[in-house]
Amino acid sequence: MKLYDYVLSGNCYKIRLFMAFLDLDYEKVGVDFYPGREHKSDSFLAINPLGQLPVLEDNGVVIRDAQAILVYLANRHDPSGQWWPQADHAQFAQVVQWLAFADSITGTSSAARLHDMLGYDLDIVAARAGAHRLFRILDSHLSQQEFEGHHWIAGPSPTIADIACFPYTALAGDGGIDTFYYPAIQRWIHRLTRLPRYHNMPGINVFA
Amino acid sequence: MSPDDFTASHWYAIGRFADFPEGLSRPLRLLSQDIVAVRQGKDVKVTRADGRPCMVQARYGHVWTTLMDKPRALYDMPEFLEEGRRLVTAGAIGVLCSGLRAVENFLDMAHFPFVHTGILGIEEHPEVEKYDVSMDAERDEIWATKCCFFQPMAAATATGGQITEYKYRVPHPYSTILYKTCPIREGAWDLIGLFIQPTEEDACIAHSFVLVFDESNSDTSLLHFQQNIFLQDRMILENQVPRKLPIDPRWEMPTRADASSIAYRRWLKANGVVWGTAKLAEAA
Amino acid sequence: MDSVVSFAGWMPAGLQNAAETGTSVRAVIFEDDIAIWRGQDGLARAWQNRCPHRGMRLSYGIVRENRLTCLYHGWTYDGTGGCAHIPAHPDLVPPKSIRAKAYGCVETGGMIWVARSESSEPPPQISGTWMPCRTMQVNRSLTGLAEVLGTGKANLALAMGAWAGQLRVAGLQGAVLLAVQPMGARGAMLHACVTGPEDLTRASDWIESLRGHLERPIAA
Ligand SMILES: N[C@@H](CCC(=O)N[C@@H](CS)C(=O)NCC(=O)O)C(=O)O
Ligand code: FES
Ligand SMILES: [Fe+2]
Repeated sequence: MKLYDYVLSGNCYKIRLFMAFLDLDYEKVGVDFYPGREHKSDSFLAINPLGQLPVLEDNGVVIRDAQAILVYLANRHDPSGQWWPQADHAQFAQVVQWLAFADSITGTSSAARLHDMLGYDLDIVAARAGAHRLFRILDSHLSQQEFEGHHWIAGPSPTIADIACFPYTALAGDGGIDTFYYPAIQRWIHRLTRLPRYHNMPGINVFA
Repeated sequence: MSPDDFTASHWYAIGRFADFPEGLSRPLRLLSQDIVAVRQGKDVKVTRADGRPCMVQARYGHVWTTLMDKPRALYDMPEFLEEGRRLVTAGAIGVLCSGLRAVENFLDMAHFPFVHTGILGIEEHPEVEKYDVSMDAERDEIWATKCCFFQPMAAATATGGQITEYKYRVPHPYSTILYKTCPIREGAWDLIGLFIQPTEEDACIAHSFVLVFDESNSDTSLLHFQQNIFLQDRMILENQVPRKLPIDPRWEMPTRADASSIAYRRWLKANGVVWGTAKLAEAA
Repeated sequence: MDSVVSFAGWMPAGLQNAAETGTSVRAVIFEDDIAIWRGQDGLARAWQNRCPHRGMRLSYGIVRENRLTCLYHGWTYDGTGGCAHIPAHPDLVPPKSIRAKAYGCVETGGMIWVARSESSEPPPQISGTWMPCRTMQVNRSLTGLAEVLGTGKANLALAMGAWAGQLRVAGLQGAVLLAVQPMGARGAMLHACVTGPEDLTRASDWIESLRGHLERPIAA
């Protein structure tokens, strides 16, 4: 498998993290996302016309979108079925719902990070406010899960929904978004960083 | 607050030539002032808010400007003329802290095992041996030499743990360059440098470069290595309190490992640097 | 409540489960930036959120046994704040003068309370056993909160003596213990505890709606 990868991308990190949890071997193709904007080059647009990372290539199959790649890897490489439980229809839908939510976190928290860190020209006030709105929802949901004795987004064990929501929540500080407002999120981040084979990325305090 | 004379008297990097597309005016901040940069053919023109032009020069892979009419000369880096080196520029990264904090972090080996764990240091080897710090009076710059540190993966080219030797140079309040033993060429040094563009007293943009002998890594892998390290530092820099650099020795407590930081703070003080520093009264 | 506009006496700093064993977290009270961490001995400590070495926030620190290690250079502090180890100089015995600045810290009513070290007020005593429910950040300054709470709509003003008070909420079996932690420009944290697990979900819903109410624009 070949992952088109950028070291500072939280969406690529979703895949690196899941590969680590599944203990999979893969090849990384480094992309000069910044400052080179290589993801907008003709040669990369031929791989992903959206001009976005990550992209996974496996035996001629080309998949873009981090959530789609997580789904693919879970189906193909997680015989335990733990990471994407499919037996229970409601839980199945829950996972899909939070995968979509994760993309909204990208649209807000990641945008704030691109603004503060890489100088992207965008509405930073709106990006931060949007992220806070989502984190309130996530904090509330995780609290409710804790009331029921569950420690993860979609049930009693971690799923790809946790992986998809994790990077840009844990990296929110990079975009000037304070996450100490959200204690249930803090506890969830802490639990996730302590899973066996956890793999870190810069900007996340692995000791937290 | 307007910058003190020493701070104002320097040249500052504001980006790489490629960061200024033809015809596009880019509003920028430098030393709490608005400036505008625009590329015109082979030149980048920089103007102040009131329309007065600033001097510009292209050096070390970057475009430099100054707010002074008679600035100090920009320091020399003869290594940029050496054959066989590769230059990789890592782009501009915004950091919410005084640029002086960013320079100080760069001079510091003691954080390697904790911040760059498994790459530039490991917790089992945290010791900082005594090193030399000296002032080059003629060029008015600081050198730290004989800096040795155990590193599990000192560079993108490294294959295993080794004691790495460093030299650090501070030729400018907002620039620092490190010289690190080159893992593939006996007796040679690889350079990694930081050109800080101080935007506000407590905010800056870090421009960085590597200038190395390396035939095995692609530019992109050097870039990823460098950005990975810098983003680990950024999390620290944005969480140091206060954001401005305290230069009063009664405030933050150094040890021998901080000899270069002590020299840097003293040098700033001796040169009358106030802009970007925290006053003791703010300590409470 | 609106008469108190700065740090005074004992202030709520979070629910007990905000600082789990082996973790360090950040709390802001007015202008004070505080690290709260809990060692393996189960004791919560509150310190100024600034390492004496180079100012790194200690809420990023690493908790090992009953010591806190700063993330930046690994300076390690014992449970009372004294610096016990400086990794860059393994053989050096750190001078006694290197100390993290400690706040008073007690736990009662399911919450963590802190006081500045110079305060001589006795710690709060809240009777009964309380179970942490929710913490919620509310975008409302203290004066704004007092104004809304004082209108009687939220029916809270009477119950709130100092920073915390008990109230009855329709539909809950037991009472709710509600505390306000002012954070200056960041608004405030509301902390809620309940008397038993059967009330967790409803109390959580109630405090969410309370926040909605508190954040509504105040009519001029
Ligand atoms: N929905 C996509 C979003 C991916 C995304 O935003 N990727 C960023 C890098 S983290 C990117 O390539 N952005 C460039 C762009 O959107 O133009 C996913 O989850 O993979
Ligand atoms: S700043 Fe805490 S150990 Fe250096
Ligand atoms: Fe560093």
